[in-house]
Amino acid sequence: MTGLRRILAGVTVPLALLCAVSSGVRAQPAVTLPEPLTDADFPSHPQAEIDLGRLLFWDPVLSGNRNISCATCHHPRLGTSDGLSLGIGEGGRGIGPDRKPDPADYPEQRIPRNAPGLWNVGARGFTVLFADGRIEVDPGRPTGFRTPLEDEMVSGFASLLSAQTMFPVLSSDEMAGHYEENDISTLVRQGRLTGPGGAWAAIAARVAAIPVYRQMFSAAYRDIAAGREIDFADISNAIAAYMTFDFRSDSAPFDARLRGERRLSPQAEAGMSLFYGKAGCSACHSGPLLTDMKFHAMGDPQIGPGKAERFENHQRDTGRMKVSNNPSEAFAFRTPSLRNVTLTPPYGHAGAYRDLRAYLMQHSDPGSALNTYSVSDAILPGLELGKPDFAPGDGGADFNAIAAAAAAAPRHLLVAAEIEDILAFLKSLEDPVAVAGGRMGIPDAVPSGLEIDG
Amino acid sequence: MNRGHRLLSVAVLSFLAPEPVRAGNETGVLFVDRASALPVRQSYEGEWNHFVGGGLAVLDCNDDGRPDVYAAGGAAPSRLFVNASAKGGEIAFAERPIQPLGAVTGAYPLDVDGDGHLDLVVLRDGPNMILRGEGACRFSSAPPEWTFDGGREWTTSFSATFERGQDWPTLAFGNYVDKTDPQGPFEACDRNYLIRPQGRAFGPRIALEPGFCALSMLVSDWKRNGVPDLRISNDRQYYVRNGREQMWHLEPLAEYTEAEGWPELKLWGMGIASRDITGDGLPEVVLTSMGDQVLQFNEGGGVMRNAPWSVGTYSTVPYKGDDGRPSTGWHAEFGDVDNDGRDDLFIAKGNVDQMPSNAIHDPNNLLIQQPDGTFVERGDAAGVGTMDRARGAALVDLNGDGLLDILVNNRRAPMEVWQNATAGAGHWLALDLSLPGSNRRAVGAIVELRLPDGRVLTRENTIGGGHASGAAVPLHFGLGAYDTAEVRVTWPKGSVSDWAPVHADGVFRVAPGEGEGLTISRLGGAP
Repeated sequence: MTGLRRILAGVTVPLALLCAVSSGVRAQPAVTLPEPLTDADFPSHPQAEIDLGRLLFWDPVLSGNRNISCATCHHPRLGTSDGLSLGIGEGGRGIGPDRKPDPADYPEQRIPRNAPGLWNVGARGFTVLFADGRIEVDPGRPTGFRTPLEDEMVSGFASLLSAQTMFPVLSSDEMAGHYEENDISTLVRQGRLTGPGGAWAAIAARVAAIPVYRQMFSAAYRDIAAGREIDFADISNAIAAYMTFDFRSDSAPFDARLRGERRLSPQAEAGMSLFYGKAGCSACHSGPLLTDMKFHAMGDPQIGPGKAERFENHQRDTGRMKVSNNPSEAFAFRTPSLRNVTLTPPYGHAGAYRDLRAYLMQHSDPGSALNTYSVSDAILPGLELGKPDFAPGDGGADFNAIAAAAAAAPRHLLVAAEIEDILAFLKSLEDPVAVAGGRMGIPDAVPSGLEIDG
Repeated sequence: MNRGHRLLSVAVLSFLAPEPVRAGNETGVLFVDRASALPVRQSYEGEWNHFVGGGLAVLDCNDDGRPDVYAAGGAAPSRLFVNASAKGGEIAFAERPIQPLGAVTGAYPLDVDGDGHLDLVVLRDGPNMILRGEGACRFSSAPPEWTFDGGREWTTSFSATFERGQDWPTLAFGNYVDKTDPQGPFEACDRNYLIRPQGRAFGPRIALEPGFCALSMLVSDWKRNGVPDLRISNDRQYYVRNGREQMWHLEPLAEYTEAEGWPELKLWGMGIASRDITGDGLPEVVLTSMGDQVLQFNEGGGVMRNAPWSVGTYSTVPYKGDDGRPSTGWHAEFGDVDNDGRDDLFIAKGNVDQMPSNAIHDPNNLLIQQPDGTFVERGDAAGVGTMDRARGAALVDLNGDGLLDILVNNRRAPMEVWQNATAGAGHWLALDLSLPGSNRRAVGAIVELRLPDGRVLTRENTIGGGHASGAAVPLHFGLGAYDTAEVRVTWPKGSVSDWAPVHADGVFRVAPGEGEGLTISRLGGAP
């Protein structure tokens, strides 16, 4: 049964909606759609800053072992993600499903969470970053932000996104490397991050030692041209400017629909009605970014190492609770934006599902698939590990507790045809700009001269 | 028993039992902030070489019955604060000049030369020092004839014992990273050293190898077989892979092996607390770390077993605030803060410096033992759950009211003084062991206190453990509702006294008496 036929049958959507759409004007809404994104939703940046940030985004010089850049796991050809359930960070070679461990620098574990797409992360409405919100706007804190460094956080970052950009370089598994492998990883493991002797200063010094970067920083920032030293916050500000510009996504069919310019396909319209109606999706996937920037326990299967520190044995990921220390937020994760969701498989905070349809099926009945979940639903590059990728039970990933936490989540049982309709709607969130991999493309080279993960 | 009674001093015999007070009601545990008692800002400061350390040494250096404190300052001044508290009054301190020493990480008091004045072993990133106590809280450098070699390492832990046949103590120094190792700092742990006495002087340093970045050491007769061993808690942050928690036989000097039943355990070990909390006379240990704080039950025969989660001491994450990352534990110490006859546990917590894996706002723990042997967190309710980077600490009665007060030394934040104001606390007593001749403070003695209900509280008189912090003060016991008890001492050379009665609510000197008796004389305390 097609969406159109079901609409005509009056099963899910009032006929008035169809009529309104057919007339080619903004819907007479049986559903309330969000306001469209406009230029006002995005900070603007000078081209010199964007150009600088682009090269830094692609330059492995920011990583401890000079072997991985932001783009490696946020690749424009992979929807600004990496096509993997859980990526291989520092110590891998290649991109996407072809990424392999480097035998000479073998990774200690997988990255514990799915690499998110970066679409619209620079939008002003993107106030909560990372799946656990450990970087977020928080008016209750003296600085107005929560960051992992709390009151030790440096100043100089221009935006929340810039603050976020300061942290992957400090992660031993993501970019810094391990132990005494390099100057950055040594400082990180010692817990020396800020100040003239810290890891951020060491990375900034690497960048500042490259003449092309010095020229570009001077072109982008007047006070650096006047003699101020390059600070890591300048690096993160430039990268944030680049991401804001290049990964802005507001030209999908859905955006045209929000602006009242064009209707979606009938099936996508049906899916949209479900999304904003009985399927209940928009209760959390709200607003033009399709996220409420809040945290919900939705019962996604836990795979991989979990958010366990090296001194911990479990493979749990309690999500927001590990940040907030609030037990009521156990296993809750920030609602992801669904923009270009079709380009960013796998799905879930740990990427447990490679297939969006399968993800949706269990998502409509949170926690329902935990008992039958198979790790074969994930995409995991080969990696010999000390711990299994799948560790259910109380001693491992704590599936029972995940199910218990999801018990309160709303259930919206959907038939298969409805799932198809919603998938058609989600396809309408796919932006041609995103399909093309952003606006600026992959640079030919970076100033460090290091090889690009193109 | 009868003989013990006969040997009681007149002071004790004339002591009248006070009005009965109810047994400690743990919900009333309360501390009052007396940080302003310190005349200057005291804190533990410095770069990476002072991420660890930050100890406190507590000792009565002017023999006025009020414990004084020497606080390690790291790159900042280390200071001596003389206790000026009136009995039962507000805690007060005055600064007293002491030889300025840089890069101090911690300190432990002990009477090296048996002159009755406590000396200070000062641990440093650089040559360790012994400051010789001269009375009246004056200290001077150890005389050259002591032939003490303080080394040049980055020292972060210490313990001492008096070995059989020796008048002077054997000293163990635990060192952290070897900063001269060009391959370091990881997998570059320095060796530790033992220094044995040679008559009334010290012999050469004996290397304890391998070392695994020792952050706490404790000589303890943990098997209660009269043979003390040296426990070393080591920091995996720097030994990384090949390292372990260690136990050493002292004679002959040899590390315990897995073959003899010492299982390999790897921790981010920071501090040791040792106390019998199960009532069988064998000391349990708490080993502070990152995340889980490990309590091990002593099952006898040299077997230590991790306590079940339900005991309530793991204190893995902050119990308050909105930072849910794992805690970092440092100094741990048992003490009965509500005098209910059950030892409680204080754990100093705080981020190493800027470790994003661990909570930045990490409250100190005050875990109150319940009648069923579990522990309940009361740090917040009691007022002591501060969030700074705590390191060393002490549980000690500073104002002679029989209630254990708390001192906390913080990295990059002011030192804390907490006056115990718990209402309705139980009876208590404190015992100051005394021997003639050498080992004047009877280090290595085991004190048992038998309550009228038959329970026996066991205390080993040790030097070491904690995190770079030690106290040489009378041993404090909470008695709950009881105002009498019996005491028995196993002296360091192995002789065991008879049980002798002792009354509550005072500080008593306990010395060997006639035969197997004890001479017990009242030093302080009041009804």
